[in-house]
Amino acid sequence: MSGEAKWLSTQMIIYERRRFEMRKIIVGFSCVTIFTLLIASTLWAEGQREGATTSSQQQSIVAFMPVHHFTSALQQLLPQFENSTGIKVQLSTLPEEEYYKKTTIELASGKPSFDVFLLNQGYVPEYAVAGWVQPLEQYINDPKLTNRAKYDFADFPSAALSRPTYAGKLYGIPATVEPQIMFYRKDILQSEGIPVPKTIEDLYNAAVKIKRDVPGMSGIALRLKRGTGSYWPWLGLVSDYRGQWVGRDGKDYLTSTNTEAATAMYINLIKDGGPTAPLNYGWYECLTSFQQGKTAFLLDANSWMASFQDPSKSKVVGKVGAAVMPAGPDGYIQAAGGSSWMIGMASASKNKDGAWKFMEWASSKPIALKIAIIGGDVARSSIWTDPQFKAKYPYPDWIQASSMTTDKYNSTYFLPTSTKLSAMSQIIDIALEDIYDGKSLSSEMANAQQETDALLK
Amino acid sequence: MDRVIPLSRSRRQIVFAFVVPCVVVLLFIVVFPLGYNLWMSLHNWNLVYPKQTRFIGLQNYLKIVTNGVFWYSLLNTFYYGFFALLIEFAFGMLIALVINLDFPGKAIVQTLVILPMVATPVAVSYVWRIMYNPDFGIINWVLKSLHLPAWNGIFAANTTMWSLIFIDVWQWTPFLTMIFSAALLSLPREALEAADVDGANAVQKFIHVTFPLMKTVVVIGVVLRGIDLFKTFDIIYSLTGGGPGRLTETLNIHTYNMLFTNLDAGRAAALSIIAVIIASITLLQLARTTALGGGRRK
Repeated sequence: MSGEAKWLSTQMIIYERRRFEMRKIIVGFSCVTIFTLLIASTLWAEGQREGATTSSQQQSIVAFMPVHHFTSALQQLLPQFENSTGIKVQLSTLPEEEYYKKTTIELASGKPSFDVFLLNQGYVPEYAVAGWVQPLEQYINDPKLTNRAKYDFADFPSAALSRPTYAGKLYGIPATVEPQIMFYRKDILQSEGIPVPKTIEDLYNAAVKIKRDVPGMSGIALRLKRGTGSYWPWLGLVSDYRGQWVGRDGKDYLTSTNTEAATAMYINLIKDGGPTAPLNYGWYECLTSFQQGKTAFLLDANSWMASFQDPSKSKVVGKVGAAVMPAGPDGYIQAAGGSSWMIGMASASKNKDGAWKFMEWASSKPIALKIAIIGGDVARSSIWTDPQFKAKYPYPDWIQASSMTTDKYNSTYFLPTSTKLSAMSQIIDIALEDIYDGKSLSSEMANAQQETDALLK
Repeated sequence: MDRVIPLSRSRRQIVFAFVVPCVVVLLFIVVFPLGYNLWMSLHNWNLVYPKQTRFIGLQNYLKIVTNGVFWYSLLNTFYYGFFALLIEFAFGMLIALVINLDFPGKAIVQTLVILPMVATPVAVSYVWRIMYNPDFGIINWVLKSLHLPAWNGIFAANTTMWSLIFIDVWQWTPFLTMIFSAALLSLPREALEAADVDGANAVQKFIHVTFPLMKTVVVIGVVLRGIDLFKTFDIIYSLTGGGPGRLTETLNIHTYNMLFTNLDAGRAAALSIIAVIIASITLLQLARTTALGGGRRK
């Protein structure tokens, strides 16, 4: 190559190299810029989310509730609240299994995304001790916030109020008072010539007979799916047998004779009289199964009556009978109860006055009545005698079974008052699943007792 | 060993400018959380009683190691991982070999084979949950129309783990297929032709020529897939939640329950540190015993 050409090509190489370096710097710089912008915009968006509750003080609150007939009834009535107070309510829901975990973790983080939520009776000690729920006395007793005469606090049954009370403070307003009763298909019992069971033995025989003889139907549907509160109907049966989960002395009695006998009966009812895939059955599946005419008996929440009498969804309208829990081996009757769900306020809420306004409205006499009429959840005693309610639910056997169970057969204490209930109920879930799968009942209950003891220490 | 070529100053500056942000990000995303996790695991932090958090040293680890459920969950994890990996490896290799042949409709087949991997994992889990449902799932519907007994596999003690393994195989075999397929494409033609000339049949070609040449890539694929299998959570959680009983409770599910149900954050942190240690040991050993990371080269 000539000297000139060499010089030219060297110059070109240098020029190319410089341009290449330049380009690398530009690319690197724009990457860093984009990255910084991404991070900045994420932080800004997060700030906006928190600001939504702080900046608009009286304008909106966030409510978080599980999928439940109470929630759907409340949802229908929300516009009334928004129109009368101008406070906007954002209500979001999740199925129960996911609801518990999400609520707990959000509350534990100290920055829950909700102001108002539904608190389950088993979790009151846990949340109260951790300081995640707001005690409500100051709101109930403040005349500026609550008209005590109109609110009529005494209208809530005392059995219902015992659950949201912990260490003398009230942490929730009862939303659902759901005593455990027995539902049955009047027509199936009649056609099969089975009298209404008065003892658990009778119930067992009836369920087995129906499963065997009636095509397409199982005898009974009981909760077995983990995370859906199987401990509730199980504990009702255990109490019926005079067994216990955790006694008032703080010791657990999972391996006591009565508790084991009741557990055996619970599993046998499912095995011999239950649906084909019972591990799939949470309370929602049990409800649907009965509602669609696929099972003949239930031992679950009385509030399900509304779903059974809804002509748009139910296939068993007019065929539903109700009775109190059948008696245990020695004629003793006891069932699960308390106040399953109550409305609570997150102590980290930035709009407590607005939240209380919503809670007070949702639990007030007229709205509680409307909710009971739409969804079947009775929170106040006066609703049972209300003419509108009785017109919507002309089922004297159901009304009698529900009120008798709440007043007579449902002790104010039956659930362990422990802050570890979520862990303990999972132990029960696992034990029930294992026993259903054929593992030895005594060893499973012994395991469960051991693990529960470790938690209670 | 490769010669280390010294860089010019301007080069070094540019390299630095690119590496530093990356290191900073890694510090935030990897080192800090891991360190904080380790710190958490040395305390008895219960979410219900956060004010009672105290330094307890290695007591969480002691509690874990003496808890039978932990060892059982470890067994489940390895059972799941081992069999899923074995089957995915076999099928992945087989499908890769088949795809590498020339046949009409090859493009369509390639797309179909990759599809399961591309779908959102949680959506896949939920669709399989519905399909497996004994009452209205399609699997039992087909069985019923063929007058066969209903299959309750997902909740039956001896088939529940395999129902999950099946889903994992269905979803992630394409991953290994893709990796093996790429390796097959990059094989030197001469070696295969030489084998042909020597009169080797297809099986001999595979055992003596193809597979040895693919070893490095195979190890990479197996290690990557192994890590993912160890981490599997969505399939198991959506379908069985660890049940029935504890039959499908892997280490991940156990850790999840420890935090979200027992609310014992310290112990959950300790469990995750143990998981990191186990994963690192197992997979690093696997990687080291082969031609990865500066091992022997022909």
